[in-house]
Amino acid sequence: MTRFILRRLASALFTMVAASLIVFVLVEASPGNVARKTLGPFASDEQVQILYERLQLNDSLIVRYGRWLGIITGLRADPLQNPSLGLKFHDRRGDRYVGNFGFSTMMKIPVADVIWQRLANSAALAGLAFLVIVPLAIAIGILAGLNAGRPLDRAITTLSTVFASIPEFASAVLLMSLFAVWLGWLPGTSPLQAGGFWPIYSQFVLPVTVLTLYVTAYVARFVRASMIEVMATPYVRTLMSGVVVTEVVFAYPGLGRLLLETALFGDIALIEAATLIAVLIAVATQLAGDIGYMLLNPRIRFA
Amino acid sequence: MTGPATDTASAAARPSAQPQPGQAARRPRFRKLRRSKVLGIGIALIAFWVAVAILAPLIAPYGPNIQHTTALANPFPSSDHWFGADPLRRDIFSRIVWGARPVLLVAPAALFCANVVGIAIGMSAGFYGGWVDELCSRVIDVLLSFPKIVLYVVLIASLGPSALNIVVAVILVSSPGIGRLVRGLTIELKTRDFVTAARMRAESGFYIMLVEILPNARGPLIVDFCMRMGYTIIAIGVLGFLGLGLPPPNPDWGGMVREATPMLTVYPYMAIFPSLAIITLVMGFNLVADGLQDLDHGR
Repeated sequence: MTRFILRRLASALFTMVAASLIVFVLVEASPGNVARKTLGPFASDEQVQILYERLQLNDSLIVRYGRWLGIITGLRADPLQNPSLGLKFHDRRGDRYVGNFGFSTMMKIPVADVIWQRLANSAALAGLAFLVIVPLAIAIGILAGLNAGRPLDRAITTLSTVFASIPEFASAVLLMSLFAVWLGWLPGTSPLQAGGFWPIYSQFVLPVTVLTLYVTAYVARFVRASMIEVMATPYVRTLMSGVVVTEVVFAYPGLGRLLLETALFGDIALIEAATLIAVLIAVATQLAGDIGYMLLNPRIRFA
Repeated sequence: MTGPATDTASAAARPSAQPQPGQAARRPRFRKLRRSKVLGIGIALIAFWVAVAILAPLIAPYGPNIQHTTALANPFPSSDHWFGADPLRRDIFSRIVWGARPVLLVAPAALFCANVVGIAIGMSAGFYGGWVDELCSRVIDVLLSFPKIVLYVVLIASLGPSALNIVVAVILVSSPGIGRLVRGLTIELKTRDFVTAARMRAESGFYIMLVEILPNARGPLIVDFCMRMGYTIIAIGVLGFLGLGLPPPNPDWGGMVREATPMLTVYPYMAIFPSLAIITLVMGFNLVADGLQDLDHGR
């Protein structure tokens, strides 16, 4: 059993390292871009050239990847904070700590200052949705199972197909038109700012509904196609994709909207941080799911 | 579409005449095919949108990018503009009609490429086993660990939004899942007698995979293709909605919803009509997937 867990841990670690390599290659493949993006559009070509040399961006991709990994894991000092560069980048945590993703060029602050608050917001949204989705999915599954082949089962199947055909942004637009514009019962945006007309809890209703509709239907279809085991993992990964879109539609201050904004802006440090955190969550749930499944299912434990 | 589509075609090509061998075996399946309401509705929805895409110049009353100053004050649906006019006062009905073309070109083309890549990876992994399997499975695991939308956003943001880059992104996002499916199917099929027979004849591995295994894996692959068409059309819509779709002014359903969302309080129809277009097309593919699955399970 310990061997099983250790093997799973090793494979999760491998996945993380490989995924981080993919992220790094995608974002930082062209070194000239890195210096330019760090300094922003108003820096002169000479300044970009100087930073290019100081950061040794001339080195091979693999060397730069190793350095980058060293900075994130706190083994190396972040060169951007070196006073001799004159960038005035300052991090109150110092230049060497675990989870040092560097500086956001879009927000002019350390990535660590913004990312964890956003992650907490996203976790709140996803957690609330999860609390609705899981009992709902179990109830639907039991209902369909007890009535297998009868009209109720077929109605559930058809409904899940219909709802799985509605992209989150489309259901968000339809629900917003109905409940926010036409009836005026709920707020159409969820900026999570207190003191406005709408209390905070009301700002969660529409986003959670949108997520619930899509994720429940999507997973119900997959389970029916029996392509995957009935486990927590598919929920989490679908939920994470859904969270990005939902946050954008409702202007919700979460990690998903941050990822989109930084991707559109070209803020390399924040893109890397947001993507890596998303993958880490996916890998961690997969690991937890595998180990939990093993503990519950003795056939796997002794296989 | 090899399975049911060929059955329909062959049955139509041989009207009544003398009974052919093999026809008797095909009959019940063909009849079931016609009886399946789910499949019928799905095919009708897809056929509708394919017809709209092909006949776009005949159906659309205006060009997709013509701005109508006559609709400046009143962009609401009217006899001139059935679905109203968008924020730039372009005819929404015409844009939806023309917008069927890019979706129905990009999604199938991208998924076809993704299938070629996925089948190549999954089949060699399942057939050869050993280190090939280990390597392919690792790559698949890593790519599947990314939440799909995150991978799409990072890819398109770094490659730039264009039809070709969307195809590349769909290949990277979809082929690992296809590979995993094909790997499983191959492992199951390679123990069958016809594969053993082919090995006895000393056929090459390439021949066995392509001629013996692939045709026998077509059932699940077709269902998977239809389901993936649905998800891919949703993904293309989402990319358009996030501002990472086809560059403007090309009519793009997701992009149309994006442009209309800030004006939802006054002109909700601007966002609702293109949303309905995406929903009906996706539903078509999802219903076909459901229907084909029911046929396979004999429900």
